[in-house]
Amino acid sequence: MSRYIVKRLVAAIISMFFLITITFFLMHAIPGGPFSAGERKDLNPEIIEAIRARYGLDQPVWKQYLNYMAKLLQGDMGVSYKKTNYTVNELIGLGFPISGEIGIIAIVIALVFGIPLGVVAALKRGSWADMASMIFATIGISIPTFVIAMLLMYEFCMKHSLLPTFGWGEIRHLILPVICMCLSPIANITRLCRSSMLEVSRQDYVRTARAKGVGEGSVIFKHMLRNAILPVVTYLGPLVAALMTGSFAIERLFMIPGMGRYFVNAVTDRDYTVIMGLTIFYGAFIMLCTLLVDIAYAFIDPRVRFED
Amino acid sequence: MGEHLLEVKNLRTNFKTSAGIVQAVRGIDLHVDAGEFMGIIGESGCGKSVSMMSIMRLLDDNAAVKAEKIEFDGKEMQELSRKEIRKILGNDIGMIFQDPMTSLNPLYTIGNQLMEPLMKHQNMSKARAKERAIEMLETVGINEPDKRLKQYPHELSGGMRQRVMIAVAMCCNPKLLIADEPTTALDVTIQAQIMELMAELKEKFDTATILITHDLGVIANSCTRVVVMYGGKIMEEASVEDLFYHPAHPYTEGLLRSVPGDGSGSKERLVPIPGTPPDLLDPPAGCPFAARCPKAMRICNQAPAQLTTVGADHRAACWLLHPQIKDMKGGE
Repeated sequence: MSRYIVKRLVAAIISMFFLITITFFLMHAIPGGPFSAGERKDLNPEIIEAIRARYGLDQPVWKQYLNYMAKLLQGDMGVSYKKTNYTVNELIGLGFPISGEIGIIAIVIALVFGIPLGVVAALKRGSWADMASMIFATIGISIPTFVIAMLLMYEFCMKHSLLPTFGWGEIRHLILPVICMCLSPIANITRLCRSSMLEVSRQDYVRTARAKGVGEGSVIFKHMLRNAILPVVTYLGPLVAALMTGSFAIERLFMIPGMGRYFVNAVTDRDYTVIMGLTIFYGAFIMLCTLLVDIAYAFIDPRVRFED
Repeated sequence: MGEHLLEVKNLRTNFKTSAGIVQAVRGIDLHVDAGEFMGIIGESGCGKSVSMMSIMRLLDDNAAVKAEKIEFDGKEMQELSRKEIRKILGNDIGMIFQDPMTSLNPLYTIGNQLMEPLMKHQNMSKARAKERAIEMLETVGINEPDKRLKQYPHELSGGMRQRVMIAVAMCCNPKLLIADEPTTALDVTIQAQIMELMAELKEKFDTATILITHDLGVIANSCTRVVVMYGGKIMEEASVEDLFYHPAHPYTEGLLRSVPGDGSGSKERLVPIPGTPPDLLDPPAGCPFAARCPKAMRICNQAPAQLTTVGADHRAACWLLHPQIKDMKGGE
């Protein structure tokens, strides 16, 4: 097991190297730059040149790449070109706890609602409960979160002024963003759980359990659910990474100071160091999540063995 | 009527499907006595498994089971609640299924699955259940039982898994064991071992056994009494000797002709039964076998024949056995 983890970590480092390299050169291949003349018409060309020299942008790209890698190995991801006075490490350090908090709550809620809904839908197939949860799931998957966000804002903030439209720091600020973030995961988990429960319910070992006279609760939870949960666990890896690093639309709409909003802004701003920092952080995070999922898999399913 | 361990009268099972109502079992009478080894034979889809599952209420909700009587050990099963049925399943009635590769839960150890019914039905402590589980694995011929307890199903071969299934079914000392094609998914040498084991256990525990199979060879070697099913109905019921030497129903005759002989080199050809089994969505009004029967008469297509006594403990449902038709034939 520990050998397997070491192997996976080595593979992750290699993947990270390629991810960083490819992103770096792609990013520089896009025309324009953080201080390109077209953007700052108010400044003299000499001053722009001086700024570019200050950040090392006047050097050939391969040299910039080597400089960046050298600093990265020391854990320094540089300073932001646009949000001056902030290093990229600081931006992530400030934004991630906020996005992560919303993300974790959304994931827990998604699991708490999604799994039981899926199980009930599968067990009562064809009943009104099944229909209702499937209608809900289809809506949750097909309506974009920003549309839901605006509808919720209109209903709860404008019409009834129950909740604030923006702000951060209190529980009431969390409610609407979390609802928006967890709807589509709930829908997906419900569908996944329903279909895998249906598949498992037809398995011979479930019939065996019933033929042993095992109680219905034990048949469902011990014999069916543990088998049926595997696809949900697989889905959880990328989901955790995506939710915890924040959503651009939701953080924009609710003015949340998380890190989700940087994902798009940094690219349009050509804020090279922030683009790189977010890519590295997201990449590492998603690799960590998939590793955790694979380890969790081995605990749930004894057939999964880590070959050394 | 306490003489039979299990007595079933006029059992009918229908399935509601999108295509219509499938009449899988169409009025069968069955009985098994304590300690008896009974066989049910028939081709795929003739209702043999479904009839057993109906008795044990293991069918899905789209199945409707009706019977005049399903009496097990003096209790009318249809009057019992699901909870009461669960007390019987795994305890008084054990069941073995066709495919040992899929019949055990892949996520739990052999020990866990074997101890489950012991702790549930016999109120055993974990330690006591473990002792008993080891004992049972030894009984079914599994070596190093304490090591096996900690293993998962995927670590065992098909034959071993079927032995484990037998251990699970037998661990609470059931009065009745229902074996649903226990050897079909196994290769021939393992088949023989499993049948030998079942015969041994039957002797040892004196458990009544219902063996469901489509393999006449398996029936010949193990059962004392055989029921032949076709198209959801019972065609013939006889002792194993009568069935093989004096079959009374053309379907049974056909089955016997379709099996290779004793290997003595006779040049007898195998004769398949032409045609396919009837569609149970729209079963024929008469004898279900009439369409494939070489001896079919006009009446065979019009009304089903009733089970007629042919000899001691030997009954068959064929119009040829009807006294009037017998007379006519005799008069020809």
